[in-house]
Amino acid sequence: MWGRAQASRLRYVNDQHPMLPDELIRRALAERDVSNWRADDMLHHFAERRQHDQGMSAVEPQKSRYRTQLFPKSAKLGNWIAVAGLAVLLGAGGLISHLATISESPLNSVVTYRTQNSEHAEMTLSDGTVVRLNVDSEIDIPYNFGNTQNGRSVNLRGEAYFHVTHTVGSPFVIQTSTARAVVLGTEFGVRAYDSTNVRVAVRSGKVALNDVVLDARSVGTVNGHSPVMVAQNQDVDAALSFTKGQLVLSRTTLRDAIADLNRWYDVEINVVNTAYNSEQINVVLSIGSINDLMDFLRMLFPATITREGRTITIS
Amino acid sequence: MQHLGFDVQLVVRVRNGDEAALDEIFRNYAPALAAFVDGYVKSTAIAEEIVQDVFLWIVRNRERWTVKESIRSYLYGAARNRALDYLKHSVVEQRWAVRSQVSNAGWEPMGEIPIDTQLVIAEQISALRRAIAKLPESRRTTLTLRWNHGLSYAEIAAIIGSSPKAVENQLNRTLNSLRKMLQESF
Repeated sequence: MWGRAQASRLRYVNDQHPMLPDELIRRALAERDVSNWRADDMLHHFAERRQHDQGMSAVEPQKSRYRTQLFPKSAKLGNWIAVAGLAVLLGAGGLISHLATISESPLNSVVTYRTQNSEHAEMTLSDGTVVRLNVDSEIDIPYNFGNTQNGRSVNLRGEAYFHVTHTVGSPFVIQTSTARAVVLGTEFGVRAYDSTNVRVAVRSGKVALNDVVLDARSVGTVNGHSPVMVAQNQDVDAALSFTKGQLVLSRTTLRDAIADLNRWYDVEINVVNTAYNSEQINVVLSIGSINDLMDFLRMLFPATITREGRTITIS
Repeated sequence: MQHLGFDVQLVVRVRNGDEAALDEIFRNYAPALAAFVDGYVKSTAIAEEIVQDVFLWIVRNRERWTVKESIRSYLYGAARNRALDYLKHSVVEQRWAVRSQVSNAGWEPMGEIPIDTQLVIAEQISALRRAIAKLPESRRTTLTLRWNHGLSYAEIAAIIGSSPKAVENQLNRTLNSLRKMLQESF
């Protein structure tokens, strides 16, 4: 598998060149990152303008409407410093097009951020904690997040990376369907696509997963309601590679990789010839077009690979 | 990535004057739209204002607001029209050149990659950027909408007035020529 893989324009684990041509194109296409522009701030300005507009709806629109400086210059500059500091971290194509839904009661309300297949998103919470959502993931953030009484607690489905800001006396809690991770200030990833398999990989600091303490470079897994299993001195960066916009499949069988490939490329892969299910895959992929995925599969398997819409069949 | 059912409900709510519905749409799309428009007008303030104008138009004309493919494709289409309109009536071409040199879009920490390799990559990216800037507007837009904003072929077709198949073909041709260019510069 390795020999053939090297020849490809996709980036492989042992390849010297650091980036795919596709990744270069993507970077060249990149717009200035606005993931840190606060939608709420913009909405506030918009609401003001709308009110103003409704107050003078009989009046013709101003002639030089795009010339007016809507925001004071200094405020803008402040924004940009924040953007320059944090925004550059976003992975490939990671634009926030999440759906944010707000439940009714204002006191108990929760904002849900959601990424679709083949989407990444990054957000900074009010306490400065940075969250990067992997593909097809969902996080609930309470409206009163960070209040002294309520503390810092979020719900997660899917996979996310957290860089938690240390706040004295206020632990950060991540709740998945079956596991609960408590942290003080640290960097780590939580993977909980599947309620029967939750994985926490700690880059630095300490995380308590269902009350079992994980040190830096440890990976803890929970299968269903079983006790936590801890593996120390792990390659945590591989487990957190999605934060760099990469999907690392290392010594994985096709069978185990399909769910991830489906999520990353927003496709549905059907394996008709089940002999391929147990083939090993070693590859690093970026979010790309379906055609990239097709190329990759064709390279990997001497199979007939066809596609109809978003369904790919390997036979 | 179809939320048509979701979209239809939202459009109906906006038509009935439900401000919360419009705010929800705004919250979801405004930042990404502003980045998209910023790519045309090269000014954050103007980009934000154009995005707000798109939404103000919806407020003023909400009873007859119609969405063909999806709310997303409507918004990107309207934002693009306004951005092109703005460019037509202003002299921003010179600013373009200056800003695109200093723009640090696409820069991410490259971590453990050796510095000389980083420089090579930086050169390749800026060469690519020049090539992309020379593409016809509709091709550049198609590429951006698909690769940066994740719109479907059908949504893009609705925006640039084409068919999904034609969008796919055009996209592949553009990508192939960019890839060929890249491979030559390796």
